[in-house]
Amino acid sequence: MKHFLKRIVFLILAFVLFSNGATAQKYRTPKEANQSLDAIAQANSTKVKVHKLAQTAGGNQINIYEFGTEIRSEQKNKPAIFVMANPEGNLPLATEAALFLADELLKSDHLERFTYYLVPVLNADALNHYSENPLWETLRNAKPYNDDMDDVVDEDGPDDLNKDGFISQMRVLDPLGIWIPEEADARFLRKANAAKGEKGMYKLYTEGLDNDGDGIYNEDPIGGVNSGINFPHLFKPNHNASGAWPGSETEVYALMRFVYAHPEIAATFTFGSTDFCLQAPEAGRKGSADLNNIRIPRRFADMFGADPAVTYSMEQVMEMAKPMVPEGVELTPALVAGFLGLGAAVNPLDEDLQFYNELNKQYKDFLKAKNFETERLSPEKSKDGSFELWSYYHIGVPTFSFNFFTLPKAKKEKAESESSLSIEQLEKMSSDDFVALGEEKIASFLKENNAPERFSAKRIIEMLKGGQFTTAQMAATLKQIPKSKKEGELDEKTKAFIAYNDLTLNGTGFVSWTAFEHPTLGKVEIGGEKDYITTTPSYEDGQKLIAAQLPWLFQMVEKLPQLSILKTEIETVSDDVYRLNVWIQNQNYLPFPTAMGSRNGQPAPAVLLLDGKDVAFLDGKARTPIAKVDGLKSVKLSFLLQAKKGTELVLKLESKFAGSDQAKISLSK
Amino acid sequence: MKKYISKYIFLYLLLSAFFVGNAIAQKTQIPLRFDKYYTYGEVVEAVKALNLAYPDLTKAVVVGKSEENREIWALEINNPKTGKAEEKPGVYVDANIHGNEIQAGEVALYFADYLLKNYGKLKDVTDVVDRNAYYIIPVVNVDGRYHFMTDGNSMNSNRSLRISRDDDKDGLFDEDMYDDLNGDGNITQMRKKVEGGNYRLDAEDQRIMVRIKDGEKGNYVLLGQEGIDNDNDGKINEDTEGFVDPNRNWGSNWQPNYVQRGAGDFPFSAVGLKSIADYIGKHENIIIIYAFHNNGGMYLRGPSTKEGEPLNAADIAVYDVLGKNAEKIVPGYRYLVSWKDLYATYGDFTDFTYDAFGAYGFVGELFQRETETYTKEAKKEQGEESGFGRGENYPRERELLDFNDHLAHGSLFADWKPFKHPVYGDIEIGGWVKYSSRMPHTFMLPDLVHRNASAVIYAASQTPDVSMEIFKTEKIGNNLNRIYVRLRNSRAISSMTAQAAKEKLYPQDMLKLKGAKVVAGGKLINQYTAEIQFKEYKPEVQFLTVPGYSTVEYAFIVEGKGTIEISYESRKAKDVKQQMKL
Repeated sequence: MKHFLKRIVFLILAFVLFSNGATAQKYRTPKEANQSLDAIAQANSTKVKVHKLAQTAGGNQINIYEFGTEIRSEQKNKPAIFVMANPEGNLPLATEAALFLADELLKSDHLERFTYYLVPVLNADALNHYSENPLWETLRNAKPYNDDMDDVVDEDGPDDLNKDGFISQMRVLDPLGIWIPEEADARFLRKANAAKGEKGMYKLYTEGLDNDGDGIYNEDPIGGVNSGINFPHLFKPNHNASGAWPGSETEVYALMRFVYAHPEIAATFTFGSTDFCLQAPEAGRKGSADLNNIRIPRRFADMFGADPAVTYSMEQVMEMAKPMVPEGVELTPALVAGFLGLGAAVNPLDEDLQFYNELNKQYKDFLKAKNFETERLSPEKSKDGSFELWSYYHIGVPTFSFNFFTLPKAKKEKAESESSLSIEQLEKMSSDDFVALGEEKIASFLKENNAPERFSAKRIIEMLKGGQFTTAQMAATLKQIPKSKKEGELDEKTKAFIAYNDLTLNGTGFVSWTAFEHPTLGKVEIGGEKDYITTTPSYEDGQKLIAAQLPWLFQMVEKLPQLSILKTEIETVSDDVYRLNVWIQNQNYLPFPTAMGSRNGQPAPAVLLLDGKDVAFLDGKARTPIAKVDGLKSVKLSFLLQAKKGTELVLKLESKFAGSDQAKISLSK
Repeated sequence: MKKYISKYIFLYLLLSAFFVGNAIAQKTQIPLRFDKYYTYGEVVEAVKALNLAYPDLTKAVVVGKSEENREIWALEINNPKTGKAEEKPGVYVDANIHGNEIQAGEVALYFADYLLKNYGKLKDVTDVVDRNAYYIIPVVNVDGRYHFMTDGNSMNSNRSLRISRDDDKDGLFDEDMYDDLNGDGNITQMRKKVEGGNYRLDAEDQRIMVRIKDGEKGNYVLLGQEGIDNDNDGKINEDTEGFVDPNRNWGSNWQPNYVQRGAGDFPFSAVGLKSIADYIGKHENIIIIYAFHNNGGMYLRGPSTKEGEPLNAADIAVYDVLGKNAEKIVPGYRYLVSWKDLYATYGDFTDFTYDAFGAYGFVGELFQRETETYTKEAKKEQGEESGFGRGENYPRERELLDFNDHLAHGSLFADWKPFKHPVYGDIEIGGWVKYSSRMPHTFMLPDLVHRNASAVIYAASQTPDVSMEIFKTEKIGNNLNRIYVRLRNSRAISSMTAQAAKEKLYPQDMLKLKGAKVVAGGKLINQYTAEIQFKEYKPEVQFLTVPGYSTVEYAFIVEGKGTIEISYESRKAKDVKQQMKL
């Protein structure tokens, strides 16, 4: 009877949720996202498990949803994919993508081979703002924080003065103002350039009052920490709401604990503001280690024959290290820096960039084949302390991310003098083809893309011809350079916004400037871009964007390292003495592990176990760790064994995140 | 009837609690003894016994639990008659974060014991007890202390936390620990007689191994520390406990294991440390921190990394007062800067408490082996270290063995004895035992604990003590008064670290005027010209710091009549307020 009741309750619940799902064509709140996934877990109790992770400062429950066939076992044999959706809580679309993925996983046969850990949103407190009135975007969770270090906390946030449901901006005519209207579109403001004789007109504020009467507006809003950047890599305390220390937020701390407790995690995917599928994690950061003034730590001083009190240059240290480096190992500054503990890696390692660049290309082709519009504003660069950077640099697994939506670039009218070549096109060209365009065309292309003067067309041509520079490198460099704009022209972002707002949204993305009598500022105008407009398309468009891009994840997963025993070989060396050769292959594209994983030593090694009755190991061990097998490559292991002829040998290849294999072999020729 | 029974039960429970308490108190003598090293269990009993003996002044608190579920205890000392703990400057002392650094725990226990037993007897002690609140954690690495004493160890082993790591990257965790082969509770050295070896025995003292010079003939080899190849990988003792170093796992300037060995997976991956961080975070009044380690005889201040430089000059001034004083209180100890004078460490404890909570911090590295002497000269040269087993300083080694023979009566060195090793065959096992080298023989312990505890007592006497004086009022109009206020800190430690003010860790101290309208107010630059650096908005609240041995002056222009109240509110220093009639 009780059972029956339970069932009824469940059915009702399922119906309510289902009907909600069917009618509610809107972005889900953190609570609704959990409810949807909880319902999925309940309906698929053999395949989905809920790990209750933590509660945020704002009381939101953060869960990890495990999808797979090993949910009941502690020991995991299948590689796992960790999906972190919406780490900063500012992208409702990213959370929807997690829900989309959940459905796809249950429909496909993926769970036969992989486990998925799904976080629908990390900074749930921030995501709640999307469904609140007034609409106001913040990256902070609900932890109180005293921004202005006065005697009250969270006392001066924005206010919806005109009661239109949006926090927008206020502009005020003020002799101290630094802003003036854009010539091309007076709705938008830009900074006056005094050097050109321009005088500022407006002061610009977020819509609100000076609630605490300290002369500053909206300087201490509700909330404190962006949990999406509360991770340890390149963490800076209390910087852009990063938190007091890495993992200061309970949800982040619990998540780190979870990830380290699951060595089967083979890769992570973030649905957020970066897109490592489109563009490799950026390089070019200055490292914290000063490689010109190196102190040899006391513990290594003897070994190096160095004085710990003296500073050395990297060249000097390399010279000292030379006699210690085994043959076949290349002595590099990175090797020395890592060994001496001089500092953390802050740029993606070259070997990893190779696979990133190749997969970026493949992804663009994948999108092109679907006629997916790729001319859009670039996704953001990864932030210090972000989940993605932590995953790549600390966990040491292949780390990818999707950013499902940025504004389409405004279609540009072509001027006659322009080279009609885009950076995207350049990327695909060979050096020869590019050089063939001729110096004049190349010069105008460089100018359009704001290349510095030392990159003259002549010099570029020489470098490309000489092979010191490739078109791909050149494209990557040009992408880093801020685009120039002509006098009076709007910047790329504003142009894209105008096109999107005026054409796609029929103007609903912008609050027209309207006069308002402000209690302390006097006559002001309230207006400007609405929050979330540039990151959050309509629900329907969002679903289409996800459907077009997300499936790439399934193709990437197939490229994760997969180890197997390729071949075994027995040679008889003497009576009852055999040489056994074993080739272990990584049959997939991605390396085992990444170069960064090799550097940080975090990914668990694979192990080859040999077992046979009365086998003595003359050379080699019964247990052999395997630290590295590059993508589509093999390593050879060799053993000298003493055993009776005909002895059965069992070979077991075990790895935490790259599969396992077994072979049997008989010791006889 | 029912009521009667419940009353009876209550009385019974109360009595039994009393008797249990007494039983503990009987087991652990108060005052505590310092001619022995307390086991982990005895440390806990000692904390409880102190609490029981001084119930009005102390609280015994479980801060959290370790990896192996042992309780981490704190003793809190506060005299409620002079105010609530959180209103007074907090002094935090912890010890034994490294499992092998045993005597550090004794310093913390001695410090507590000494304050309590001399409260009301010695004026200086009474003053520092009345003026401050104390938070004392005698053993941070509770698993480490337990295992160090219970298991076979060397003086250097068992430093880390009980978080297993795959040190040798073979996929197994902590699978090849040291082995106490002869079962004497120590991990000492293994040597083997081998013709052509690179060592010979010292002619004067066969306990000493002498490294041969070119052209000499040796007949011994050293085989490292006591152990076998537990995982049969051809290496001995290559994956021992941990290694997560509890002083590399804190959340300030933390770097992963490939940069900082022993870092752990992420900041506060160690649950015991996290509970301590949460505990310190809850006690916002803590202004000074002492963390005791061994060894080398040093008082170290941060930063522990070059990235932490430059430290603010005002903070260095505070450190200098305390550090230079400690050098005199503990002769031979040196006051040093961690990263520069020793080596850089990431994820360090006192860096964290300085960066995250705005507390000054010192690491006390206890014990100098130089003090183990057997010589007629009263004073030895500084910095002379034994190089036993690897060094060349044989006269000094002989002296250390003489010290062992004549002052420690053989308790510090295990004589070489034959042993049949499964891999090496006939070997000898012997050497300095775990209680040697890094910690004093217990006859020297009372001196060590007293001197170092005194260094902390001095620091406690220098926590900020801010007084307020309304030193002038002027009528400047019909209904207007100008009021001058002076805040004076009579001690060396600032009311807020300069770093905390600069990094905006928390709001600065506040000077507030209530009861009348404040027309203007600000910092007084020159009282004779009435030059004031006015604060434009909300002049009734001024933000400030009162540095050590300093005064700051403020002026308010107040409109109205009646009684006003001026208050100074500080997170670390004690609040003061005054009322006056206009």
